[in-house]
Order: sequence, then C-alpha cells, then structure tokens
Amino acid sequence: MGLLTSPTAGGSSKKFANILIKWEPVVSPLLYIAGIIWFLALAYHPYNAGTYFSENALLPGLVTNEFSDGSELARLLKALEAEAADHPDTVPHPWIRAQFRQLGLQVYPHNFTLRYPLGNGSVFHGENTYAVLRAPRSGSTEALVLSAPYRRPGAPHPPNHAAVAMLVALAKYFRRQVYWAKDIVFLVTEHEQLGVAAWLSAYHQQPVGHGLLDAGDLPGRAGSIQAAINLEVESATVSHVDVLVEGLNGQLPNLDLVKMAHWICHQEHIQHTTQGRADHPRPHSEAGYRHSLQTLLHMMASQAAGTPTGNHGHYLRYGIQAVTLRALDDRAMPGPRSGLSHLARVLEGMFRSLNNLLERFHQSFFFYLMPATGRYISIGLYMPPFALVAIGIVLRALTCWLRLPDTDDSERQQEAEGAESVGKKGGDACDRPSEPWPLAAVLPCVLAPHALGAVTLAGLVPLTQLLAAAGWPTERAVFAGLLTVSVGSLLLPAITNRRSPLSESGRLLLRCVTLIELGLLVFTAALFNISLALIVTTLYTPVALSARYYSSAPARLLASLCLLLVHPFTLQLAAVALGAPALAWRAVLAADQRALAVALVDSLVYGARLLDVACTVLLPLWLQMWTLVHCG
Amino acid sequence: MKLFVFPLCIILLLNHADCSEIPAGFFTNHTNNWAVLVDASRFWFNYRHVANVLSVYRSVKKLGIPDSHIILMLADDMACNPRNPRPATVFNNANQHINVYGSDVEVDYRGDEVTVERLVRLLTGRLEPSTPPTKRLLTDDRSNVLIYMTGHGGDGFLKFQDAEEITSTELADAFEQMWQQRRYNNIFFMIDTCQAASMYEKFYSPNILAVASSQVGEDSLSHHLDSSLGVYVIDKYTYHALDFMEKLRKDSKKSMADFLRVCPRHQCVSTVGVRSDLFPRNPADVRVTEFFGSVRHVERTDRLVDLGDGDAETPVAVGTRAETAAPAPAGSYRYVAQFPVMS
Repeated sequence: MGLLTSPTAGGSSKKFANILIKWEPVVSPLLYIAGIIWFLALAYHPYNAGTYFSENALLPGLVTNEFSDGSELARLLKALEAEAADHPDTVPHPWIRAQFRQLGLQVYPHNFTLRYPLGNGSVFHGENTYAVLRAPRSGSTEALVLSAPYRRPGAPHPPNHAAVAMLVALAKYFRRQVYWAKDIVFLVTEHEQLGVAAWLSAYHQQPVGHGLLDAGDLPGRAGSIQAAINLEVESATVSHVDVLVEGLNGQLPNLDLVKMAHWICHQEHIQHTTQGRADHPRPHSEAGYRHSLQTLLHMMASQAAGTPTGNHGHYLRYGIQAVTLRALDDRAMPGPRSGLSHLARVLEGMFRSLNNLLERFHQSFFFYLMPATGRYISIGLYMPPFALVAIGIVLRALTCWLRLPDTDDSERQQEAEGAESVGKKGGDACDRPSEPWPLAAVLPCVLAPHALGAVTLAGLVPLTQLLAAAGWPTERAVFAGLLTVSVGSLLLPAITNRRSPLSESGRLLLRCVTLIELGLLVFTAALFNISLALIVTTLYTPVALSARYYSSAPARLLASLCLLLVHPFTLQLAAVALGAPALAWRAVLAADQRALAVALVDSLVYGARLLDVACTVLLPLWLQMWTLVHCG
Repeated sequence: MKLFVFPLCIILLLNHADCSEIPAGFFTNHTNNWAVLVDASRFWFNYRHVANVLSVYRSVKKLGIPDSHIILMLADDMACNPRNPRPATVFNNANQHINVYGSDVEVDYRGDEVTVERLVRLLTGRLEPSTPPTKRLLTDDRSNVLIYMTGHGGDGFLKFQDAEEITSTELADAFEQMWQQRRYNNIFFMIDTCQAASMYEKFYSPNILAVASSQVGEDSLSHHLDSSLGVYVIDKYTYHALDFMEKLRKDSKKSMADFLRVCPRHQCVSTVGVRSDLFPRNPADVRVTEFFGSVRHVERTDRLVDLGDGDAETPVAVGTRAETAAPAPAGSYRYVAQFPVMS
C-alpha cells in the first residue's frame, strides 16, 4: 500500500513534504545551474583524466613498422585513378578483384539491393568487394577488417582512391608475413554507409531495415570479427589523421581502440586530431580550456545527432569495435606533411596490435567524452553533473505529486459527513472515484499528443508516396508534413480542453505526468547517448519547470514564446542553421528539408532513433506543456 | 651401489698420503642434482616468462644437469604461437643470437598440464601411477634441487595460467612434505615475479635457500624489448642471473653468496630478497655448481683397493679402518618404501 497512500499522511513525512514544497522552487534552478557549470568544468584539463591502455594483450606500438613500399603504393594509386577516369559511372570492381586475386587472397563479391521507401520508391543496387587473407598458422576463428568506401568522381564526398590503393598495397605486404593470428578482410564498399551496413547484415545474417535492405548472403566468411578500421584518405599527402568515433545512435567504440589509433599515429609522427582539432599546446591555460571545451561540444553535437560519422558506426552495433581514420591535407594545419607509406605504417602498427588481441575489446570504457586526443571524461565523471541538471525535473514532479489534494483526507471528510447521515452513504464513500483525480480530463491531454506523434511518424512515408504522385519531391513532402503537424498541433489544447477543462488538480496531475515522462526520457537517454540527453535536458528543464497555467496574459505569452523556441521542429532547424552558419536562409531551408528526409531514411533503413524519439516522445511532451500553458 | 661408493671415496681419500691436498669445498653432502623449472603464465604478451625459464634451462644443462633430472614446465607454447614472427624459436635477447627453444629442449609439462595441482603432486611425489618416470621428480635424501619459478605474482601468490594461483602457504607445505619424505638434501628456490619475496616468507622446512627478484610491494621489471618481435623478451633479474651463469663452467669456484649478490638495486630497480635462515651453511661456502650444475667431485688414485666379495654387509678391510668398523647389526633393517602404497 505504501506507493498508493498519500505521502502527506503521517506526521514526519508531512513535515518533509512541506519543506520540499517550500524550498524546491529555489533548489531546482540552483541545481540546474550548478550541474551545467560542473559539466562545463569537466573539459578543463585537471578535472578529467588521461587515456590509458587497459588491455594488456594489445602491446601497442612495441613493434617496429616495416612497410616501405611507397613506390608500389604510388603505382597502384595511379592505376586506380586511371581506371576510375575510364569508368566514371561505376565502381572498378574488376580491377580491384584482379589486384587482390593476384596476391593470392580469396576474393568475393557481394550484391545488395535497397528498396527506397519514400517518394516513388526506386530500387538501388550496390556491390561490394572483399578479399580475405587467411591466417597462415591458425584456424579462421577470428578476423579483423580493413574497409574503405569507394567514391565515384561525382559523389558528394571527397574521393577515396588512395585508401583503396592502400588496401591493395597493405594486402600485398601483409600476405608476405607469417605472424597473423587472425584472418584479415579487405573490404571495398559502395554507397558509403549503405554498403557497409549491407555487408555486415549479410555477414551476421541479421536483416536490417525491416526488409528495405536486401543484403543476401555472403559467398565466403572469415570468422568472428574482433575489430575493424575504416580508412578514408582524401589526398596523397597527409597533414593530419582525424580519428572518428561516433557511431549509430551515439554508440562509441572502446576507448582502448581509440587510444591505440592516437598512440600509433603519435609514434609515427603523424599529426592526429579528434573532431578535426589538434590538442592545444597549453591545456592548463584559459585558451587551452576554451579549446578543449569546443572540442567537447563538437563531439557532443555529433554524438547527439545519432548518425555515424563514418562507416565504422555500423560495426559497433554488432559489438565489433571500430574507428574511422580520415587522412586529409588541410592547408590550415601547420607541420610537415606525411606520405601514404607513412600512413600505411600506421595501419600496419594498428593491425599488429589488433593481432595480439585474445578476446574482444572489453577492458576499457564504452561510454566517455573526449575533450582532447589524450583526455577522456568517463561515465563516472559526467553522470553526476548530468544528474544535477536533470534532478530539477524529478523534484518538481515530486512537488506536484505532494501538492495534489489528499485522497484520504477527502474520504475522511465524506465519512465524517456521512456519519451524520444514514450509515449506508458512508459505506459508498470508499467506492466512489475520488474527486481530486480528474483522470477523465487529464487522460485525453496525454493520450492525444502521443497518438498524434505516433500517427505522424507512421504517416510520413505514405505522405511522401502520396505527394510524390502529385509531383512533390520527397524532401519537401517530409518538411511540409512535419511543419503541418507542428503548426496544427498548436490547436490541440483548444480541442482537448473544450469538453472538460482542467481544474487546479488536473493541471497538477498533468504537470506531474509530463515531468515524469520527461525525466524518464532524459535519464534513459543518458545511459547510451549522453550528448543527446544533456542537450535535451539543458533546453527542456527550465521550460518544463516553468510550463504551467499563468493567469496573466503577458506571462502566458512569454511562456508560449519560450515553448515555441524549444519546439522539436525549431530545434532541428536551429541545429541545421548552426551547422552551416554561412548559408542564406533559403539554403538553410533546403538543407533542413534534406536533413529531415535523410533522418527519416536513416530511421527506416539503419535504425537511427533520433526522428522516432522526437516524434513519439518529445513532440507529445512539448504538446503537453503547451496544453498546460493554454489550459485556462 | 650408491650407498657403497660414497663411503668408499671417503675411505680412499682418508688413506691418501696428504689430506691437506683435498681442495676446500670438495666434500658436499649431496650426490645428485635436480632442477624444477616452472613457467606459470600463458599468452603471447608473457613471452618473456617462457624465455626466462628456457634460458635457465639452457644454463643448467650447460653446467651438467641432464634432461632426466630436469622437470621443465611451460604453460604456453610461444614458439608455435601464430603471432610469432620467427616461428619455432624463442629468443631471450633482442640480438636473437641464441634460440633457447632448440631441438634439444625437452618439455615435460606443457600447456594445460601446468597446473597448481600437478606442481604440488610433482614436488610431493603423489603423481598418478600412470605418470612416466620422465615426468616424476625422483629425488632422494641426497638430492640438491633447484626450483625456479616465473610468471605473474602478487603478495603471497603466483598466478598459474590466468586461471588459478598457488599461495606461499601451499608451496611451504609442499616443501615440508618433501622434507618429511626426505625428498631433498638442499633446495635452492629462485623466483622472478612481482612481489616475489612473499612466496618464500612462509617456508619452515630446513635446508632451503631462497632468492626472489623483488620485495613485497615492488614490481619486477622486464629488461628489454625486441622491436622485431614486438614483445619484451627477458626480465631484469633473470637477465643478470643468466649473465652471471654464462661465465660459469663446471669447475667454477663462484659461491652462492656471489650469486645472491647478482642484480643490485641500480640494475634491477627492484630489491633482490634472500632467505637464508633455513639454510644450515654459509652461502659463501657453497658453490654455485652445487645447485646449478651436476658436478661430481672425483679424485684420481693409483692405489689398488681390495673390494672383498662384493657382500655389502662385510666391512671392507682397508688399512686401519677395519678395527673401527661398526659390528654387524643384530637384526635386519629395511628402508621404508619411498612411494608408500596407500590403498
């Protein structure tokens, strides 16, 4: 009975309840501000920790890397570029397969098909090529993967021919060695992340995309994949190597793997960066702090978006730790330039270390944030400030619950009244539904937004198909659909409140439910995607704390404006605008349309959850808060 | 025959013209040497432990202990590890001059056979009846046993195979069982692990001399890295101990005291620990070859000796020794069976 009795019954808990009700409005904002300050302080060098190797078996960087065949690499690159120039519309699979076959590796093709769900629903075909180098002296029970996405000359991303050439050159070098304990798979994929997702789906026989992605079966396999490295090399001279970590839905690779990538780059004297930024030379200074903070915020922005920053993101969902190494030549980066054979030595070093692994990466952290290449903020460090930021929601929910009228008191009142009258009436008092819980009024205010959110998400795909028949491009259809729902749902309070307006206790109950739901969302999201959780919490806590019925019209107007600022639609528009600050507003709108369509496709094909959560949880939450403000 | 030859030698020597010609340290109280060399850790990154043991094995063989008297226990196969860039070899130095896993290496316990139970059974002589003699420690009360252990250790334990541990108490009890069964004359216990001194702290049986590469709370460090193999190939203490032993020959006069001084603080970083209170003699009077080699002290003589009828109970009549020979015992005595059958 403990949960259902009113907490205000009984002496001491009543005192506690009164203290909470009295002080919570002061404490919650203070805790919120304290949490934010604490979190931002974590980026400062002395307040976080240095990365270290937890896995003893790795032995990173102990071996001298001996790859020196730069001329072969250059020859391969030239041949591949010539081949690509001859066949600009297709991937030169025959050339790639011939190269691997000449080296004596087992070469296999992999075909996959995507049934594009939106608009007119076209069908895309893709082909990957992979070659397996079998370990000379051990059974093929474990494997490592080195993958490179092939980009055709017209693709939106920079060309990646150098990476494919490196794959072939490294395969040639690796083939001559006797010390491989695991099979090595050299994978060349098409269509960026789709190719990798399809290959992995076929490798593990796990269908993705709810039937949209038909990955087929692989003709040959290489054992359980222990780790993978994705390679993107944009030019033949390299100024720095960017180590990309964010995966699907904010999943991160094991910190040991990331640390190893940085360490071996450092050993080979190649500049290495995280989030495209090198370390500040004086991290303890104020400028150093600002630099680290910016790096941290960059990482949080990419983790919150939930899209993988490279092909490695798809390996992570199978428990295969992977990173993407992006080597590019940035004019602004100071320091000497390295050649491709230099980079090949880095890869050799990484594979020698990965070769030493006895089991999958499990020793080091899976949840962390990195303010610099050699520093990390572990989950134990970032959870307390996050909890402080979000605790206001829980405290306010508790206060609302405590302020709800006492069901026991009202029953006792009715019993007292009924005792004066005939005894039968007193007996009925317990059976009658208690007056202070206006569920009939509150329930529609909760159910209607959720239903609307679910319908929106489910209806986006049919909408694009319908509008495609009318000639609308997919992006515009998605944008229009979401905008219509967002604007139309502003009228929801008028609909739900017309029949049964909310009383004082109804508003309290609705506030309680909304705050609990928001707390549930942010605390569960914090477990696997801290960046998204923190951003949502930071924006929504002050709004949620202040979303209630204001009797004065100017206050109501102010509250409405604040609410509109944190509407999910507004937030994503702001995110796109922030991401491309130099664009004009028309271009921003076009980019936003594209972003929404891509988010929808990601959700359908890869299982990215950002759009789903925004539609089915965040939007209803927002609508409930809007109802609270406008429920008079 | 064994109990016959030894007094004979003494008798011969006493009758030699000038007793003062017998060199000092000639008389020892052991007749045979055994070695138990244990590597307790597996995995490629513990390459140096296997190299440690194989190097000690090589030195001990060079100084004369035969394979039949060496029990070699290796917990993992580094030579045939698929990660080994030089297959079928184990090196203890980055110059890769000596392959310590040559064709004359006899491994008695390999891989999963190296467990704590097997080690204790080996030491106490309680192996299964089906165990072949090459895997048994067939020592007697006149055997000097060298026991060398290496691997990962902690305060009071040594880790076996990443799965179990042998504690210092268990080891001390095993040695006590050996003493009660009179399975050794002297033991030299050598251990190269982290916090190694904790392993000999619990010994309570007599005639044990122990040396450890580090004190409790200290780590034993590896010596150097072979960057073509990508692993550390030898530990500091064993490296310097081997350096010392490379210079030994069978007739070396170096004493155990010299050996115990190997690898001082500035070379080993950790402090070498010694336990000599259980050892009856001064280590300075004990030659290194008494434990590390199998050296037979032999004195050549030109005198003819009448050995009699070959009857063991008839005292030998040589010189004046016959009068002082003990009278024949009244009853008959037998030795207790060395391996008592418990059924």
